[in-house]
Amino acid sequence: MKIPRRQFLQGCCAGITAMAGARLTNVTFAQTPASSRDILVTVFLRGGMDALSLVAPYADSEYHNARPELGLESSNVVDLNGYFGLNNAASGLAALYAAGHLALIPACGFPEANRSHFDAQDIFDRGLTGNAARNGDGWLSRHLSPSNPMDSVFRAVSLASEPSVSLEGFSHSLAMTGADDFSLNGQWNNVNALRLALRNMYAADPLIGGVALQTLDAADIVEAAPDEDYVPKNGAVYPNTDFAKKTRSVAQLIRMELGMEAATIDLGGWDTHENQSNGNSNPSQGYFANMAKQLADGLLAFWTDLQDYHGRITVVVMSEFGRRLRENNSRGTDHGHGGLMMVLSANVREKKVYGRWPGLAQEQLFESVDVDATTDFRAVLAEILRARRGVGLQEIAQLFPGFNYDKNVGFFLPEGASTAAKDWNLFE
Amino acid sequence: MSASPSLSRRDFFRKAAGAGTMQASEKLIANTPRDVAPAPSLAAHVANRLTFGPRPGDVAAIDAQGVDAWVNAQLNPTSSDTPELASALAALPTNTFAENTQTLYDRRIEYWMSVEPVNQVRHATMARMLHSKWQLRELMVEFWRDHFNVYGYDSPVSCLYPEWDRLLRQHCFGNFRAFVEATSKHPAMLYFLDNYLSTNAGPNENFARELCELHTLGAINYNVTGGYIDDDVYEASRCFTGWTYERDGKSPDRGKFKYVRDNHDRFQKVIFGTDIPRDQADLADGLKVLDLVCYHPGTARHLATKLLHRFVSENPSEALINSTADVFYQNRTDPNQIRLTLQHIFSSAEFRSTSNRMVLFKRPYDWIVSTMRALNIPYIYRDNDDDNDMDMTWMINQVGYQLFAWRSPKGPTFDRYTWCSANGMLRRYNFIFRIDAGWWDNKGLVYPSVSILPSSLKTTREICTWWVNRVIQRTVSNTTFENLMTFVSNGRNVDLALSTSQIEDKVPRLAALCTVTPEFMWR
Repeated sequence: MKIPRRQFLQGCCAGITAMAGARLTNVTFAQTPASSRDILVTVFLRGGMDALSLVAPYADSEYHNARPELGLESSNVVDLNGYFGLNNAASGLAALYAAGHLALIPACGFPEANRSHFDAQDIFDRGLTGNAARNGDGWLSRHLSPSNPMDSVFRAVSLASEPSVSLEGFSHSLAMTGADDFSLNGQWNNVNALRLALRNMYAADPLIGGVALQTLDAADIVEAAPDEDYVPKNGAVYPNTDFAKKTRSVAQLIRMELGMEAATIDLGGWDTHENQSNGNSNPSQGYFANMAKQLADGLLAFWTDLQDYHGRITVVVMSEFGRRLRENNSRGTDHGHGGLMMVLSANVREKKVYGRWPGLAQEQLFESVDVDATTDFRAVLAEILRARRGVGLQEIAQLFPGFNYDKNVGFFLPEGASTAAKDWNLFE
Repeated sequence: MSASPSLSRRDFFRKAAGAGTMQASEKLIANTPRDVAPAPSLAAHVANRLTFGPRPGDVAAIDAQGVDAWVNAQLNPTSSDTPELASALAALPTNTFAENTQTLYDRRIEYWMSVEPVNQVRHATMARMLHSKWQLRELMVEFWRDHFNVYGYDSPVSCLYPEWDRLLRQHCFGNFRAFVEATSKHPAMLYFLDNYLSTNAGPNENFARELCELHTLGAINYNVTGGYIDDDVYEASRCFTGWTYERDGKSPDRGKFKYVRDNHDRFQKVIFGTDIPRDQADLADGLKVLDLVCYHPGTARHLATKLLHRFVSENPSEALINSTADVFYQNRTDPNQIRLTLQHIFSSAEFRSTSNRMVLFKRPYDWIVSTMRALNIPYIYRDNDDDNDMDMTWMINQVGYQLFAWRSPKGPTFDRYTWCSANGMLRRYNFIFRIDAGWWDNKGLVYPSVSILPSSLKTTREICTWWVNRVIQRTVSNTTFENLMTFVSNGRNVDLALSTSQIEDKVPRLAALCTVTPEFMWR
């Protein structure tokens, strides 16, 4: 039995539907989140994204000295401020930047020396450093906990086969590779009867009935909203890429008003040790450029589609580290340190490149080889949580133990700017 | 300090939210009459609590043997085991089990070689959980594996995993102090918690921290009077400097524990207010720390509580915690310390109380193995089948996590809230319904159903009764039974005979459905 989408959505918005049969009988979600708290979408570029090829310091001679083949020239970039330029392949990001909605924060990272993908991703996903990063729970999990059975089963969704490590420890996280992938399988001609039996058996169970019904509800809802039924708005065109499929699914879930507060998306494939571009014949084309285009176009389609939700969504893009300043002999780059973070929001303060750029002269480099990390990644997350998720300073300290949150990067306008201005010192 | 700040904070929130959570879930079904299954018999209770779930006929067999005699036998396993286990093990690759430490250690060079030993232990462990008659031993091996968790897929842990597994099996009913010394000296632990790098020039506190927080005293004794503080951890880490393993590939002792005197901090330390004098004999400082933490009454309480959480209830009484901790502490030098502690627990009125039966939510492997045991699904390893997948690992991992691949030194929790989630429930449903639908026939994930149903049984009621008795082996709630019957009869009279085609259509699904009833989620 397939629920007509219109009927289904009406039911959900009313908070309750009553339908006979095996599928959704009642929606047990709490009300949708207050609009004062943004839906947080995290995009993790797994593998170590070469920030210097995306937001390139194209006017810096040190950059070109270190990257004779891979360095982007002025013709390869959209200029941002006379020093940085956005790779032409990422024209979607340039559009978002031009709209004033994209804060670019180069030279982000963590304070310790660690060039292991695994460790560095743990540091970002868990919001913890040192030994704690290997074992703790996820920063999003700490932020969203505790959850209770009345919460929406869609509170935190990972567009993946497993919940993101950032949600590790969160009891209400869902994982699905697309909006049609949280489904209950079974022998074809009995699948509805099996569902009905489960539903009726668990409805009477005082202890785990709630969770079981939410599971069945979530499967029904997701199955009732197949990907192909979703019509993007505002002329948005999602390209046919893995990443755009995921941003499209997130948009779909957001429009369904299911009480989603956080979504996580991974985009892997950034570990570009070799043949990163077509070389100096055309450094803005090739493998990396295609990845950058996939990222940019997927985000642009998402942002275009959800215009009516601007002001209720914050997207943060991160990667575990940037890459070595000096290109290697295989036309690639090795693991580095400081990388790029991006924040996409209608509340971005102004169109500019944020943070303190450490410079590329050898004495300015981290351990003499890598872009330094002058902005702690937790400062970016803390500023988002504080400005757009209503998180207080005390809770920030608990979310990121050991991190001294003493000033903001300044990419957001503070809530009640005049009174809080003291806390909102910019770096420069 | 590793996992502790975030995890303990989460635990705190859970506790704080506990009351509200229960209310909320009560409210969720407020209009539904409360209909729960009656408490099972004592035999069914121990068959669920002290095994990975009863196979068909197990409950009746325990009843016939007598619960006390059966429990006593489980506490004292002999070398004999089932023919099913023998044939399962014979079909698995186990060549690395006979290899010596040097040969195992040398396997670390290539990744696929380095994980062969740990994979072989994983296959054998699945076979033992499914087929061994010494089920309590398997549960205790799992308990200690989680308690002393190491990530099994980093070299050299992966290479030496057969040794690690033997160590867990050797000590699982034995003396805790001896157990901790064995784990502390094993390269798997030395590597996983970084002590192999810890020297007087740069002590690494990871091991000493987890020794206190996870292995012995527990977080309940951190920063409390009579417990331990950070200074104790720092001093303990100095005591363990120089404890490493032989990494020289040319040494005949490669892969074995080694003490490097030159890397040991020889100066005076103070731990728990006890002076550890300078220039002691080799190893003496670390062994003294092990005495102090293993013989500490706080450790007895931590271990007693943890065993009670696994075997009795989520909220054991203060009296039972105290008496169990007493038994653990009084027998701290006895070679049967752990066995005696378990004996005390299993003979307690609280363990046997009807109100404590079927009240523990099955963790992923509790549910997977109990399902496979109840339905007679064998564990099959195929070296090179059509899909080029080696075994059932992927399908089983989907339900929870991969065996031996838990990253955090704090092993998988017993906490119901971790496992009773929407993803967790969906995965259980999909595991068995996909097996039923034939998705993984080529992996050997199949179970007999119509073929074993006695042909004399024809009506929906007879057939459902037979399957509930076979798979669940206890009385289920009226709601559960009525819904199983409704599924089979499709609304028709449940006392009329079904046709052959109806039986063939419904019985395989009915068997699957039994393993995802609310009753089957508990042990």
